[in-house]
Amino acid sequence: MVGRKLENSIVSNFRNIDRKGNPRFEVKDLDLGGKEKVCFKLWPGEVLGIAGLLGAGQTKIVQSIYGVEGKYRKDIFVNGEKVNIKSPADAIKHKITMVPEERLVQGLVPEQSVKQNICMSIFDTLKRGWFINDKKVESIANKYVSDLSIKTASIFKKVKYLSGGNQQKVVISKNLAVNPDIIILNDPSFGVDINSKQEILKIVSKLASEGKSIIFVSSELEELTFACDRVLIIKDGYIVNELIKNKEVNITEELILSAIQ
Amino acid sequence: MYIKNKSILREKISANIKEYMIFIIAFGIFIIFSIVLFDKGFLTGVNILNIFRQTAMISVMAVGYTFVMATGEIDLSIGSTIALTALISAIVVGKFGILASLIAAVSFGALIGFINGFFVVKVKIPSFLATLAMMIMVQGFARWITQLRAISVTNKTFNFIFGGGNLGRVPILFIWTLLFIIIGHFIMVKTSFGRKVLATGGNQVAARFSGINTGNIKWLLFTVLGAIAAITGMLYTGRMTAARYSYGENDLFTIMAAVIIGGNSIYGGKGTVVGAFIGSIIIGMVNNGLILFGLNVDLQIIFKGAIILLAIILSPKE
Repeated sequence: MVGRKLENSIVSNFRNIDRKGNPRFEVKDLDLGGKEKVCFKLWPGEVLGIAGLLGAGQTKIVQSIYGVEGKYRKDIFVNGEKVNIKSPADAIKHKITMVPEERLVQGLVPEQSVKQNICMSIFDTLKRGWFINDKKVESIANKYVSDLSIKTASIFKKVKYLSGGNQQKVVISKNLAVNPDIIILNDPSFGVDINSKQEILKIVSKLASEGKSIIFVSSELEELTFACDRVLIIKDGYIVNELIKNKEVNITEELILSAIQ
Repeated sequence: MYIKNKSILREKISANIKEYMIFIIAFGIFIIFSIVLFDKGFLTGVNILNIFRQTAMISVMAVGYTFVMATGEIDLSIGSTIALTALISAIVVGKFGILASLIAAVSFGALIGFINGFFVVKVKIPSFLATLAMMIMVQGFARWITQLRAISVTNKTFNFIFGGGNLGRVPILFIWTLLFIIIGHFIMVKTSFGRKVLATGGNQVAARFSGINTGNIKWLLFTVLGAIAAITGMLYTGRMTAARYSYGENDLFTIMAAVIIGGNSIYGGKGTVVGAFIGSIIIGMVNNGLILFGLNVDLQIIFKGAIILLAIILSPKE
């Protein structure tokens, strides 16, 4: 990565995740056609990374969880209860949101304003009687623009005019507006400038410290090393390895690199 | 803080200036015709009210069509649905009364729309093809059940409510128009449903990823458009005191033109009901003006097509 090296102070970055209690989220028997079925658990406050070579199955996994991809058989449990997720609407109902891989195709309506894009998942909750409460829409949009430092001339600006990093923050805002418990980020730094990358990683850390569970799919090893508490290694459609960060041992880039080959 | 507000205001205005443009164009045409056709009686109360009567059916349909077009879809079957539901309403009102005929016509129109929606959303046929097929089938059905004969309606109340009546000097058709425009506008602009429609049209994939049920929304819009076509069919029937299989035959083009002139995009993502109404009025004024000019009917048709094409070219687009 050209430019600044990410802060990599493992001591200050270690989160003590309590994995003794019940997992907040569990995937069982997700059948991608690989040697084994995909199973994993996720606890509150944990950032779970998913790493692998291109096409190893990361996107298939998260899109299945989120209800976009319906081809693969799966069992999903939220807080111990089995849930049926057949569409993103279902996922959102269970407080699972996703920042998708392709920002402009999957994440944003480019011709619509920042404020409409930020509130796109929560229109139904912003009503006063029969009608949308535009003041509420604007105040929510303004809140996220300021909280996430989104650089835009105004919330009425069409989102296509924003830089990649700021567009990504709009997508993240849309996720956060739902008040999710589980947030999936699929390659969030792609096409994002270095400053915004740093800010996004800070946001992820902050969300984890607030107790949210995060699934972080990325091909940038440095990011995975910095941000994640655990990393699942995917190869040919199934999990081949799991790396766990603890107080002494960091998950290094070399470790991940050797694991995914 | 003051400067920030000023730039936000400018932002809002520049975003809306394209919508205001359509009002300016309509007003311009109105002024020109008022001057040029003054002695032919363009500006008289009778003529103005006539324009509203003549444009009512198109305006009402344009409201429904705006929603369908806003999701990026097309419906070619609306003309045929108007005709078939007109005939059904005429057949039923004679024997079973007004309420029954309303229920029958609207249900049938909604059913046609529902089938359109089914083929587009579930079977995933492009709406152009699905509604084209429906158009042909519905047309054939309309001609078959009536053996090409007109069906007259002698129910005076029906003919009053659906088309011919006046409340004082105000034509009932104008009230129908106003009703649909106002309801349509508020749904599009002020409800969460309207926002979801615009998101669906703007980027269906992203809308779906955001948790919007884009399939259901499109399905519903096709169904409602069919129901609106039924109301329109009844308005034709009441106004003419008879139902003919030829109703709505040439309306598809006019309705689409009105919606596009009004500033809507055929690719979807934009939804202005008021714009579609203004587009309908513009076409109505042009129609009316050509008649007042005294042109041959054939020449009228040519001019009308040319002017509408020009208006579409000039209308606000991205």
